[in-house]
Amino acid sequence: MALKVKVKRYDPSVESSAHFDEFEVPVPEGEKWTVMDVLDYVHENIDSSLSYYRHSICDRGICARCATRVNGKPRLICQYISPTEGELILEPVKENVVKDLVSR
Amino acid sequence: MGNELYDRLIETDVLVVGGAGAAATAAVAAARGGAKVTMACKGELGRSGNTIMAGAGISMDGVSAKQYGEENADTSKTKDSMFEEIVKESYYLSEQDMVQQYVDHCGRAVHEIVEWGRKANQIFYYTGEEYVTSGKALGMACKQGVKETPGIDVLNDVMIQDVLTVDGKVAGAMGIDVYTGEIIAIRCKAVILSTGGYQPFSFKCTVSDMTGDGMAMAYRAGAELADMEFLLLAPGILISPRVHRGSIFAGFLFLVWSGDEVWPEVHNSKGEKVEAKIPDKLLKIARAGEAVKLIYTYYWGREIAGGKGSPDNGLFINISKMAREDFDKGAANFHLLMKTWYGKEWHYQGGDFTDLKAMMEQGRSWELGISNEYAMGGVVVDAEMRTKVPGLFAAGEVTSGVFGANRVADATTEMVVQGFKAGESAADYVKGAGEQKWDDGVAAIGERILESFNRNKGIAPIKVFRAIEKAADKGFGFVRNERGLAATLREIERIRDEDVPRMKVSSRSRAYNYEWIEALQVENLITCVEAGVRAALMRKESRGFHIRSDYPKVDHDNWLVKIVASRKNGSMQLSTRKPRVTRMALPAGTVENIMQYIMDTED
Repeated sequence: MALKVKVKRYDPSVESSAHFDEFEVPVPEGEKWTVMDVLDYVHENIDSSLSYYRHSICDRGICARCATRVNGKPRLICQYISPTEGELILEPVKENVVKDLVSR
Repeated sequence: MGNELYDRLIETDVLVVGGAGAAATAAVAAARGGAKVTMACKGELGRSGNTIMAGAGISMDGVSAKQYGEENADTSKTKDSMFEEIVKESYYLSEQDMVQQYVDHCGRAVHEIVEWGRKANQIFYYTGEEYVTSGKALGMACKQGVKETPGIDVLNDVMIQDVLTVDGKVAGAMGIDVYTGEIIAIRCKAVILSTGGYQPFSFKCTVSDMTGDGMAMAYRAGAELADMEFLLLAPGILISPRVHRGSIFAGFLFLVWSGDEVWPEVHNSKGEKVEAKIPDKLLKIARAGEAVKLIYTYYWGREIAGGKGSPDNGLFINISKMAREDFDKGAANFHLLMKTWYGKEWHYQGGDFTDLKAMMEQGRSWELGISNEYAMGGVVVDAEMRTKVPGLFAAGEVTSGVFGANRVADATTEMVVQGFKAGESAADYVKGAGEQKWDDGVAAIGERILESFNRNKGIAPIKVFRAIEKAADKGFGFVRNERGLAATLREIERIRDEDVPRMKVSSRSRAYNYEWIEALQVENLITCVEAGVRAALMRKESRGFHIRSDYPKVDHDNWLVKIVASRKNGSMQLSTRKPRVTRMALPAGTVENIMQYIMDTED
């Protein structure tokens, strides 16, 4: 059973509006992967062009800069536990989208 | 304003690279010294860097604390006693003039950051020995200090990749804006590197990108690196579940329980109690808080390296034998502390540890590992924080010098004491520095920064990053030997020569191109790891956190030297020299092993 991850993508240098990409991520049971872990998996194994807030992060819920909209609600994805199956919808949290999930 | 070489040009006197403790204090001191200051933080000022990850404690000597109004200060902790402890704990590799600078200025520097923190409504409370606070509060204190000092421009999310020198003197720096991907050129007279340490292993308990940027930049600019083989390891770091991986929470728990007689039991994979193998004298020293990280790393490391570790290279901890009332008492102490900084019970930093509490109450074992926390080595500086490159300064974890082979005293104190000093030195330097030509060096650096972005085919930077971690884990970890180090060095050289020049990014967009950032970071990390592994191979002895199974003795006769790396004719050369001595003579002879050294110095 894999998790269907739907990510809102937008590259302002080549497109005029956003679209969704879908990735299948095998999130293991019982290990408590965070949404950040899921995105890291996508980055490392499927699509390294995906942008999400990843530089200089604490990964511990301290700096609060990884906020992302997860299934409609803003979450700190470094601490938010990902489901292992079903659907995970990820979108940027602020108005001004820089690229994909990164907004300011 | 830009041209074909860069997209934006900034002109300033002093560029401070970094965004936490050392950077904030350096910027403030430089501005107070009359310089125009620009800060460039890879992340965000006050919310990035290892400062925010600290537990945290920050301290000064007891005499100074009393002078600053702390009535319960332990005045037996004097500047002299601190000096002696730091040098001994360093296994005598400290540069003693820098230790003197640390103890002389710790009062004033720590007092100031605590004041900033309190003005930012953060809690710092004094125990008689130190100020206890949270890493986040220290970050807020840094932000406050910069906010209230005129003359400092802060650029967040700007990664500086190289220092530009003309005729061997600093003329500027170049980097990228992380959000826009613009190439930024900074024309300045002085650069202060306050970029923190390097963490080469896969299991980290620090911020995500401790890739030794400042160390590598300094090396490329002609400065020296020293003590790169000495990396502080912290035992007691959570391995699982994944959400908690890298958390220092368990170590914090031990600290809270250490008031009681009952300690958690640590077992290897064969069910043997690891503490039973540690001599009582060392257990006592460890529980008093001195050299605890080194003692446990040594004994835990031996079990893990000897094949008796947990599946994820850790050990098992179990508190099922602890009496219920002791557990409750410890939990009550713990709640009190947690509520001060984190509000909710069983919450620490940003994490929810109620799952761990449940596991403990069920008597289940959990895994703890040994993780890389801090780098003792780094850029060589003098007691004024000057490197050998005129106009280039460094402060905080990025420097080598105070802690030698092992750090026990506070790095939080190091960062503020050195940050203030670097800022003062840089402001002085700027007064005497003339105009620098701004020449073709800009084109060369700009091209290098864009290399991985412009390459059409090649290898993903994350793959190269993982290869470096794997090589470091294999032979450069907590127990080293000739064969392992040599194999790791060959692999690092292969990565450097074959993989690094082929890195390419898959997105054509410059905006938030994290792969591009990864590629730049890999270039920095590989230089730091190469310096560390070469030095570890050369140092045929054990000393502090450099633990060699094939050379277990501490050999003062042959190896009481610092190993220095510098770039000559495009390649890394190593040399050795004695530590700078001011008050404590260097010992002679050999000691049976690093644990015997600790027991001897306790006497």
